[in-house]
Amino acid sequence: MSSPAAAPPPIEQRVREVVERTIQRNVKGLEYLGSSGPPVGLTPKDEIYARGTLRLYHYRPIADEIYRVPLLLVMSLVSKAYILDLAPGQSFVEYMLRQGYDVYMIDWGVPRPEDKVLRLEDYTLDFIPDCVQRVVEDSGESDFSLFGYCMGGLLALIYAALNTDGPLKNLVCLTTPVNYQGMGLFRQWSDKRYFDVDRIVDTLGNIPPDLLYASFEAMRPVSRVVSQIRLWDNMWNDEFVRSYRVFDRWANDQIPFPGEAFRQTTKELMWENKLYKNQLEIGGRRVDLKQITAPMVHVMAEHDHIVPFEAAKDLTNLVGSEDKQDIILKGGHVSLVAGPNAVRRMWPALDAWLSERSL
Amino acid sequence: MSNQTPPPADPFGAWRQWLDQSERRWNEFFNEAMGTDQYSQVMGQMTRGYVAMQQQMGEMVERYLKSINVPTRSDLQEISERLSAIESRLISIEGRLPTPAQERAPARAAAPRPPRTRKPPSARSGGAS
Repeated sequence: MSSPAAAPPPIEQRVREVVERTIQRNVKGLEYLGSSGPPVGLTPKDEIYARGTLRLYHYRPIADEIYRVPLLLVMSLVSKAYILDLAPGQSFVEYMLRQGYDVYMIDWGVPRPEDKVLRLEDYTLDFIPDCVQRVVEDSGESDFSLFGYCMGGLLALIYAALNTDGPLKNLVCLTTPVNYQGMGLFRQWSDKRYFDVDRIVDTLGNIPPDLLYASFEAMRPVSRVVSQIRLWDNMWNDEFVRSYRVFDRWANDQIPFPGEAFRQTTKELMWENKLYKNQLEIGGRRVDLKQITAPMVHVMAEHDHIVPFEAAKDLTNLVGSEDKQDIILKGGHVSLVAGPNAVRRMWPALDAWLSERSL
Repeated sequence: MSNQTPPPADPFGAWRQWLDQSERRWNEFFNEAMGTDQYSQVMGQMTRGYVAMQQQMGEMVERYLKSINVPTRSDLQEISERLSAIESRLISIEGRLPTPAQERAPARAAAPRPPRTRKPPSARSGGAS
């Protein structure tokens, strides 16, 4: 609450401020329209493995001394990986490098039409284990920490449950859906009575990004217009505009969802809720989350409209780890991982948990 | 942002507060309407229409491209699939070769890396005391 000691500035100063901001809005507004999009994903990295559209990156360490256990980031299948490395000062990857982690990332890239055949089996039984082997080899360490954001968390979970004798040391899940009964509007819209997933996948192959984008936008139909009004209001503020542009670029930069993985996600998870019911089978093996015994943390956002709290909250109860923790923070699906809230809340909280377990 | 109470000096403060509240209210209103069975049904029909249109368009364009002897999307996709298959086989062959990481990327392997001896802040402060 505002302190009673803070007296309002004199009227002439307020008028001057309003006039200055109005001028700045117009000047910077023209600059905004004429300038190109901001660069993203600038943290220096080396590509250490490529396979189809998959790229495994190793970020160059910044700290003089790093933690023993390398950290592997796994992205979602529905959005681009640079949300974790937006821009200097707004980059989760950069933050973790500064805190002394040895960071690798699996970037799935943009699926090609022929990738429509990829299933969850390909990601969790082939691609991730393949990359894990390369991380272990490249780092020279015998174990690693795995971090998954959103659907990346789901992939990480399945990997962890099916590779219990593997080199996994710690598991970090961010806003990972586990109980699809709680998926709110997404579940309602994909109701099997009306949503013909077979026809969509059989006809289109990969799910086009504009279809996905439209469904994400429809979750908060008014927010797009309001965010543009806020942009105009804050056009004088360079920091706000810079931040708005990188987020806007990412939000509009959607990628296709591999068709078979979409079909599987819709039928087995959204419709049948098999992961939650302990009935999900991947490659003929049951994904029993109780088999996960590595230390595990699940970071969730209170106001997540993409993966509602209801869909995420039961995860830690389902895994078998003794050392497990929920971290519930204010914010939404994206502001949890990037932006000023993330810098203040999620990043330090995650560092505090992981640093103790990365020795 | 919505949690901040605007200072009394801000002439646009009330407007910003109204904007925040309106956004929340309208989103809730639309979400309620979109959470109904009727909406899902309409959305399902629209998606079916979109898919049918995409299918018809695709078939028409494909027929036209074939008639003027130009490779179609499915022709390119077929080549792309074959390239992917070759790529996969190369990867699997490469995986079987006993080539250490140093030989694959000698410059990177030779670059010095920081020691993996970092301790968490709690251990560091404990050790110092």
